[in-house]
Amino acid sequence: MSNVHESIPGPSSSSSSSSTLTPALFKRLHPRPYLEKFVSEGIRPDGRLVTPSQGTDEAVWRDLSVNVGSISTAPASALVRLGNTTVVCGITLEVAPPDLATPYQGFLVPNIDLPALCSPLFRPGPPSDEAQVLSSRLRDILISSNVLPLSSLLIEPAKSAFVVYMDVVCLNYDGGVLDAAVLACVAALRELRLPEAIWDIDNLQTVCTPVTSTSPGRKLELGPMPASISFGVFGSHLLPDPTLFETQLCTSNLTIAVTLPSASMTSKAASSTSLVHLYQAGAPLIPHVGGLEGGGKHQLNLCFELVRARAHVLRGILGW
Amino acid sequence: MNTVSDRRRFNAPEGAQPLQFSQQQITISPAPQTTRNDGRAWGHVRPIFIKTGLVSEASGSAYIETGSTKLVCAVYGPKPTPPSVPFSSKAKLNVDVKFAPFSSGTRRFVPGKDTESPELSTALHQAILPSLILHQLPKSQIDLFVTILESDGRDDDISAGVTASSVALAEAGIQMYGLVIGSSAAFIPSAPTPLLDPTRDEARFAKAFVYLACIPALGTVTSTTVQGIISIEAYEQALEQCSTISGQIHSVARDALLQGAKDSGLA
Repeated sequence: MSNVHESIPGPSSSSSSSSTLTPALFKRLHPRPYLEKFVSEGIRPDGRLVTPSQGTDEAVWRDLSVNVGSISTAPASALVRLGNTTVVCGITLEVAPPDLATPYQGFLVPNIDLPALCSPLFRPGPPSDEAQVLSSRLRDILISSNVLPLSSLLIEPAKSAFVVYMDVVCLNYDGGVLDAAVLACVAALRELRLPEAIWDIDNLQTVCTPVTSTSPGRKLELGPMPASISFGVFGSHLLPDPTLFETQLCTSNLTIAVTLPSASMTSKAASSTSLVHLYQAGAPLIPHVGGLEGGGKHQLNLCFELVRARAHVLRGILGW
Repeated sequence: MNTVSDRRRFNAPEGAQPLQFSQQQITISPAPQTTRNDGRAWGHVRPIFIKTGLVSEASGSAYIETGSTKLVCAVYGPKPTPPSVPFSSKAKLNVDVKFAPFSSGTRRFVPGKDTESPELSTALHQAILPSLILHQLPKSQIDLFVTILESDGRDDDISAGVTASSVALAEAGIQMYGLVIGSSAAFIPSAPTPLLDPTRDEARFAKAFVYLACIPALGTVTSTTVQGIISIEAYEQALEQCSTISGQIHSVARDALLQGAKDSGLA
């Protein structure tokens, strides 16, 4: 993000005395007019474009980088950086007897942790409301998409199955944390190898073989890949992938999660997206300033278009 | 097995246990005798990587990676203390160290009591506090948060934590007498000299640990701990080696700070 080191005149409503504000001070004192000045020109404070009216444009999304396998103590891990937002997902494995009602299924336990380190908004202590809600939504997306069929975690029916803990730790909170968390979980799942496990009937316990080069373990058979994309609505403008600063000023926030099957399937099947999760909070989507019919619906359709295209790009980045 | 369920998180299913491996498949590395298991010299410290500025909203932050220890440290403040706190002419330093659930390598740390570490927080606090000039900041507090992503034993956590915290505080612009650098040594019966920067496997065989936090720029010590039984001469030898190593680590930390300043356009 480049800082423009020049003074701009203060808002026109103030007196004509020599009050010049630096951009940083203006942003702090008058955040809404600051953002309005950018958006009315069609760009955003970090240089990205506000969504164009047709097609997709890569300059609309923040830089994304995915790094797998960096945590050697965890069987699988992924570090995702989406602009400034940074999350790490680490997977741990345990075994447990399956639930009585579902004797052929293992367990998936996702959690998002927003430590006090990632933002001044959070205090040390038990999970905040934000963390609980994000964990719940992450779980919804992972379970609804069936990215990890729970039956593939079975070791011995009704006796033993794997428990896959997915702990996501946020290191830098700058908007789009759910998007980054879903990506990190998916990337880590792809890397995970389950150790060979046998149910020892004499001792009533599960015995595993450590995953090494000679015994590489079992790769997971994964379902469709989920991808989550967030939007903010600022006045009549749609801002894809908003930063925290933009999110707090938007009148409405929207998150859409879709699933995409593996790219190796037939081209028709591989391009079909299914909607898995949609969340909208805040003011109702207002009609377009130009008096376009059904403005709110128009904005949703634009979102879906962008989401479809972006999901394909994400699938390419992960090599799904 | 954790029987307490935490209503604010998704919990482990009932009866969940860590993976158990058959005995003949677990390989335990032998005690180092003529050379260390990873080929290092006795007094050799693994390369350290430090980067500042990872957390954009924090006043200062640092990420450190050494061997298989990875941790992130962020500093918020100085900010005013709440009105309920009695007046203090010096700033208060609050340290909070947290483990990620996947950091231990042996089992999952259950989020909650398992992941918090008051003893590490106290050790960090004791090591850093003497280096800071706090009397210029009355009625203020400085929050220091550390999250350990990958841990290779307690000694590494403390040493790396001290170094990263000091770098983060320097990046936040908190006035200090000098950077504090942490280092540790383990005494193993089969080895002729103390092992610097011990890994978890090596620490398993140790009879004694020495841990040192010092300010190389001033040549002073902020905190030192001995655990176990060793002779005074051996302790002095370990201190000598640790302080030499701290001098080398200090230049790495200094370069990381300069690089961070260049990246943000200040230098």
